[in-house]
Amino acid sequence: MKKQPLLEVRDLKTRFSTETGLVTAVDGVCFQIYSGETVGLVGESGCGKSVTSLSILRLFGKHSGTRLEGKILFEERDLLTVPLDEIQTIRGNKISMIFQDPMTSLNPVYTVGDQIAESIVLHQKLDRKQALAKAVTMLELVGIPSPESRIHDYPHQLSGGMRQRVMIAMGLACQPKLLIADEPTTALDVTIQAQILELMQKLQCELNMGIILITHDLGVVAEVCDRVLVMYLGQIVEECPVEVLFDNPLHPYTCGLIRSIPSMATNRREELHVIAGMVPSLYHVPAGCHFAPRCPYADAQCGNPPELVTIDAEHKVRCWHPGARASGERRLA
Amino acid sequence: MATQAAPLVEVEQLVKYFPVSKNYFDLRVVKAVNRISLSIREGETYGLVGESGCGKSTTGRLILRLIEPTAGEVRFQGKNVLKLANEELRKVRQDMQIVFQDPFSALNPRIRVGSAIKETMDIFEIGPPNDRKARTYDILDKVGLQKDHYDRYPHEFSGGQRQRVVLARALAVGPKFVVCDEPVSALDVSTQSQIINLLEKLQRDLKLTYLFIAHNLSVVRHISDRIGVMYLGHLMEEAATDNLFARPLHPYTQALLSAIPHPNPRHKRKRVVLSGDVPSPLNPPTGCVFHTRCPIAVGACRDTVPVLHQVAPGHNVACHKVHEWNI
Amino acid sequence: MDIAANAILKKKTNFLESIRRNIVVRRFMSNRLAVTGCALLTIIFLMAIFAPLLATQPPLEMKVTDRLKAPSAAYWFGTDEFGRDVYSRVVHGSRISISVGLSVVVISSVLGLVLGLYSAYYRHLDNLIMRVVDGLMAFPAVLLAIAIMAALGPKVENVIISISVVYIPTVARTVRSAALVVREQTYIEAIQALGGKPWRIIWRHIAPNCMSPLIVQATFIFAYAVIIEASLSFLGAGTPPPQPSWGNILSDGRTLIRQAWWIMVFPGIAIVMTVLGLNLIGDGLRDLLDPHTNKAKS
Repeated sequence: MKKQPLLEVRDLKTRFSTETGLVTAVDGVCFQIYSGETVGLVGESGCGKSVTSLSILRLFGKHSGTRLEGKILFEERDLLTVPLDEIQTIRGNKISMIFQDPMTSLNPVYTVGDQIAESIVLHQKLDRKQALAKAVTMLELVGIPSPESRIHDYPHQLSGGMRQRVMIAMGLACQPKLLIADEPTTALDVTIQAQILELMQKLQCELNMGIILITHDLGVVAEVCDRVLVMYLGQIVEECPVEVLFDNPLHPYTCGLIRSIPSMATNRREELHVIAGMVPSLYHVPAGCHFAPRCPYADAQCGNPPELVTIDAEHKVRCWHPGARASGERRLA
Repeated sequence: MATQAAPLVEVEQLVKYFPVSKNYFDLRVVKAVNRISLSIREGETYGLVGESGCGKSTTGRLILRLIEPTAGEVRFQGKNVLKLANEELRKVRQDMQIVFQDPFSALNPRIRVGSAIKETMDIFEIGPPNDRKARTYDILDKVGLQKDHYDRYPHEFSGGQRQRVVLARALAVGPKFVVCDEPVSALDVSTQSQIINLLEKLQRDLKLTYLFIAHNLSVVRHISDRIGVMYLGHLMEEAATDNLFARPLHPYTQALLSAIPHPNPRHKRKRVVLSGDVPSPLNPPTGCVFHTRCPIAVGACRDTVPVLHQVAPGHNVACHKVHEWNI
Repeated sequence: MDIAANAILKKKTNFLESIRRNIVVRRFMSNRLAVTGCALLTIIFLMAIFAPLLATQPPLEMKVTDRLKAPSAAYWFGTDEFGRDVYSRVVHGSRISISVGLSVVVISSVLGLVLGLYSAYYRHLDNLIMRVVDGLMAFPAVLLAIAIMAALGPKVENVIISISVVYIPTVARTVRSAALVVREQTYIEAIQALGGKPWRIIWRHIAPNCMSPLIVQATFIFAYAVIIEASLSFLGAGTPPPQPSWGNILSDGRTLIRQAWWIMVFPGIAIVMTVLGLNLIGDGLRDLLDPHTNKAKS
């Protein structure tokens, strides 16, 4: 019964050496992705969610001073130990990535057809003509009208939503097993965002991909994700199915995040919940529980680093006082 | 809460065309704002929503006359702002301020935040010069910053703190009306709620009137008393917040509201997904600008521009089909 | 009294400490070429400041008996055809080069800054100023300088004026393009919304943000000014003889290059050192102040 995970990340650590010292951007992250599921990677800027995804594909410059530790298992191989030229055959082929800004991620001097065809030629050993024909079908798949003429357009001739569709078409051209989408809709308007999210869900059903969706928008997470990983300062602080995240969040940070967004359900004009203080810089990561200085329930025990503990089969949390809201009230009583 | 209050800002038939010349003989214009009329009452928050390029930010800047309008009228406390000479305009600016979206570019990187705030008091010669530093400390305190932030440079602050500085700078001159142009869109979730709370607290304490421009409908709903919905330079619908969310009438508003991702995975609703993209404002559709994407468009929508029409007290809609609905 | 002195001392050490820890200074110091440039330039500056002390002979004194002597213990760089000490003349010549260079940098930077800022801020001035600038830039630099010198007559002050006129347009262009970028920043809009008057916006908000490219350009203009001054003097249109300048020492030596190579070589080396030093500093500053390489500063 136990399914084989598509991708398994074990104890990933990503460090950068900078002018002011060594910075740990990702600090011991573990998770699995299965085929056909969408996993949300949630957190505020600087929490290491984008670095995690870049680490999976080792998309760092050779001389950037990045150090990767841990294991990233994909198809029984550790992506951190395979040689870089073999990574090239996986990137864009079996694992694809979509970036936030479709304007800077597309090369302005090539037509969109050329750019989609390029990765097809590279990975699937088709000739250019066949590849262009495939590009047309891909553009059709992502819902671009009259794709035969659109493949001759340059990126600047397309609107933001169209460009993001082209990015998705590029990402899916080789029918990857895993799609990493880094804030794919953040730069888009809500009506276009709705289109793109719907498209991604439809394509996932058709291709049975695993999707890692990196976002800071909990609304988007609720719409499309099956499982959620919440990150704070380079660590996963909570992992659970999406319903559980909104019904029964256990980490005080997750609770705070959910309560601080204004939503259709909250009362208007009511003061919003606020997480005290602000995200510390990565140069000054607190010892012990990273969230303790901002946590309303922190006590002496929180000076020690908590482990990611399993609450039930699908719910893990990194906290000494999981679900402290209830017990906190008890303490007051 | 402020239904009977007098209008503080009245905008009438405001128009802005930006010239774009493709070549010497082809002088075309972008119709950024097209005959917009609205009035903002004293003490309320008027939310202006719409997708990027719909002209909502331009409208905010036109009201402050940071951009010269092509036509129309803006009255602030009965005075037509667009007819004021330079010196008078400067005086009115003391009453009308703006907070920007990007707190990173809104502060001069080479000026310490304290002197950036104090500078505004120097410009308007508020109070005796020796008191201005003390007043700056007061304002820093009001927006939740400390005294020792006075001597720091903008790059030493996080996004949320910078937005507090921007707010402090706008409030230092004691304005009555503040245009908030996407003040929280560039911020992280947890900082967003801090700034929203701060904006509301300042409104209560200083009796401010806001024009709150944003694309995030949940945020706008939270903070606004009334909301105007814009599309391609036109005002499509205008209503009190609760009315608008309970009974959106314009098909665009309906689509916009249904597209908001809801932070509750059990909340499955029928979504009106619009087909196609927003047309280019260089070449807007004839008639109703929304007809190219409208699910209920009829022939008339292609030919005549619908005017804003009152369907219920305080609820105005610009749509041809609105008469057919039984309200 | 003592307390006050202590406070001042403390402030001073704090200041020095902050300079030492300043990341910009640290980066500059880690650029080996730029530090070499600084060293070269320091030597030239010290030479100019202490010229009367360093010179072994008065630079104008002729010793008819010692004409065209090769370098020796008595005459380190040899003597020229009038028996003047080349070493002392080169040392004194540095005063002309440095003072012309510095004056040109100051004059062209200030005037170019004003023109650049105002043409960026007032669009209707822009066309006028920029067309004049285009006109001036159409002339080759040296030719334009010669033409102005011909009109004004050979005097050191006129050398400064003519070279400044040549470089004002370049500075104005650089400042204008930087200012156009700054002008579009939100903080400029903010200060307009706050009722700031144009002079305040231009000088307090736009000008400081245009300084980086201006500083880099100033070092290069310094170097060009040294070269053009030498060229003008070499051509006889610059510093009038007998006052020594590197250019006219070179010029004196050019007919005698076969008999007395030292007359040309030593002022030549001096020019190369100065220009090289300035260019190395300029390159270093450009790397340092370029926003593209400077992203991670904070």
